[in-house]
Amino acid sequence: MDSTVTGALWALILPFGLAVAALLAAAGNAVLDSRARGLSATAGMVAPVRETARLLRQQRRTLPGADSLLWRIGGAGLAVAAVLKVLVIPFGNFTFADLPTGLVWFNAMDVLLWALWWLLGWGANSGWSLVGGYRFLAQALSYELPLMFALTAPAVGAGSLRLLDIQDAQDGLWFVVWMPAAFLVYAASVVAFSSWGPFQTATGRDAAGGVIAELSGVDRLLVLAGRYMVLVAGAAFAVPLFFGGGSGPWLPGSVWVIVKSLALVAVFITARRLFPTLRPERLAEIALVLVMPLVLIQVAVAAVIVVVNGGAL
Amino acid sequence: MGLNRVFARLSTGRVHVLILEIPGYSLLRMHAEAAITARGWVLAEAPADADVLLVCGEATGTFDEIADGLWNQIPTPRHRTVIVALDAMAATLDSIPTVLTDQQRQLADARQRPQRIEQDIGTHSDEDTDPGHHSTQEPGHAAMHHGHDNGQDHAEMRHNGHGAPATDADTGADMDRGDMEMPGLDMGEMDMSHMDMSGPAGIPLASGDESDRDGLEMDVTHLTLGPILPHWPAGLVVHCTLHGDIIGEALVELLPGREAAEAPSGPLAGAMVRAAELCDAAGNLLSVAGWEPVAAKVLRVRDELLTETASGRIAARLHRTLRQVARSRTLRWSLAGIPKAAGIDARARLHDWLSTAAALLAGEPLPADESDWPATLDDVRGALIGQELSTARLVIACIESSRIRTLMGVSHG
Repeated sequence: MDSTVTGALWALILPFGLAVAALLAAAGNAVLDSRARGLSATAGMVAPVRETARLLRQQRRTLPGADSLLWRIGGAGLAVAAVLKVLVIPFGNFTFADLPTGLVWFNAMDVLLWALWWLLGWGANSGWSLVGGYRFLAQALSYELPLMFALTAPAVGAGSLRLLDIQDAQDGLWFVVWMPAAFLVYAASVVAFSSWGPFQTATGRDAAGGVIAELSGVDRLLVLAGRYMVLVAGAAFAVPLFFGGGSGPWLPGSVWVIVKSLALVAVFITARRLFPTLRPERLAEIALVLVMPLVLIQVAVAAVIVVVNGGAL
Repeated sequence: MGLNRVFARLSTGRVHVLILEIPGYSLLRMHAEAAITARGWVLAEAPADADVLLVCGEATGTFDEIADGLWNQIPTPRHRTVIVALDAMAATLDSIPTVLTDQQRQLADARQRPQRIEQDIGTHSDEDTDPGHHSTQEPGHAAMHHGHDNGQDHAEMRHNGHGAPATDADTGADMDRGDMEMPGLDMGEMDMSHMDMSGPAGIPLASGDESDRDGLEMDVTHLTLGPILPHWPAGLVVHCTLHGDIIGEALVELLPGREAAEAPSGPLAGAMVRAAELCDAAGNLLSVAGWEPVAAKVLRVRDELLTETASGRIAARLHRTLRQVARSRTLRWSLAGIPKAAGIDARARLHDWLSTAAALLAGEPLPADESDWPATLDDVRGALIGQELSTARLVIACIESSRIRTLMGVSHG
């Protein structure tokens, strides 16, 4: 069979796989939350399942003047964007969609997240939701430019935008070793575009949930699940970019990709516990004055190394 | 049917409870939060997130209306209940899953809710509400009482069509008058003759404002903070005029609650109650600062203080958390200079509360005594104006609960 057709068929299981990974992430986080509150770990493990059952049983709601179409697009879109991100990730030598510009595809998808989070905030026609939307945009202004430059570092290293090439270029040394700044900025951006941990102001409890304040039932479920899926997709994408893709001993490449992705998700979940929320207006200063030059230097260093070495290290 | 039952059982393993605390029942509220958490249940962020409305204390007058307003926004399946004393708590909470899984009762409740807001008001709007989506608001109630009293209702989005902030029309105490001058701006309640129908569902679009600090058009909106918000002092309501999310004008009021002092219930000595109160305040401040996992640790200490007597283990846990809070550079950087009023610093305050609680637990002499900021509601208002919303939330979270009680005494004689 044509490899494109096989890829398309395999792509059917992709949403389910991603949903399972998201469920695992949610369960892991809930276990840690339960422990912090002195409850049993089992209660945490079943929490996402119970939450799903609860939300599926719950009534949906709307508000006077809500822009239902845009609101629902924002809600359903997160999960879709996450699936589209994973589409270009190589699992070993296999990839669902082998785009020559896979890296740009990923970037396009995280720009899509701007629109989705904002529509969620805007569509509800409610004060707190709108505030959540504002907050996300303010934060996005800080992370997006550094993220875009951070993404160019692996592309420079491999001399290609195709993810299989980027992965193969790390045969000698993983990019994370000589592009640590790019990786840190990338990881922080993943946490930020998932509205997670220290970058969760858009969905913050202080704003009664912000963009999710007015959601109930299946609409809320889609957003909460979508958020975990975006987080997982961001972690999975770091594997071909910085962690040598499917390279590793004994296990097949695809398994290594999954293992590395889940390990990164665990790091993100831990980060939530280590850092309080960074307020968007203070974040902007650091992002533009400190992080931007740092990333540019990182890209420059990578470029010089590639020229001197005649390729990746 | 089998699947239904499985779903129902699973879903009631994690009930989300929205607590409406009547001023003067804070100890009861803390006990309720402890009991809810101990069951593996969750405190709801907003009415949309809730299954149960739990009123802590006797709701009279204004609070009765607030409870109605909240109740109308909670999606089915839902349950509404009241506790006024600690001994009724366990039984009340135990009965909740049965009510939520009662299919007949919940279906009946869902059927009597209006499908569209427009139908009941008798106006026709071209807003396209999917009939499958049930509205969770009852216009009948909206007409009865005005949005100002409704906590987090959607009067928050009352965009002012007349070019002047709503607070200009309000003189202070009489909150409903402002609404009378802006008919139809609440909760989709419509009065066609007085209204600018330019916005969706007859809600006027946001306007500009001469006093607007950023000069942007169409970003002046109105938002009422409280009386229901996560980690918000009971009875406090702040009506804000927002420019984007900066507070341009604010009107602060305290809703009267119970006057008698709350008698400590359970096996608690006065010092332990005070320590629990301080942990509660610190946990709330940490949550507002967006550090949930550490807030959870502090609130766990609070819960244990309320329910247990062995304090050695509790003190050790409190010390560990105190160290973690003191060490965090991110927290220091994020909270620096908040609030700007009266030389109070949110991080120092957090530290004070936690170390005072630790001293109380150890029976040591107390460190420096409390500051007397804010002395009046005007002090609060002054500290809020010109602040971004999340800063405003931190400012409010820095006010001690005992200060709120004093302010309550001042404003209600």
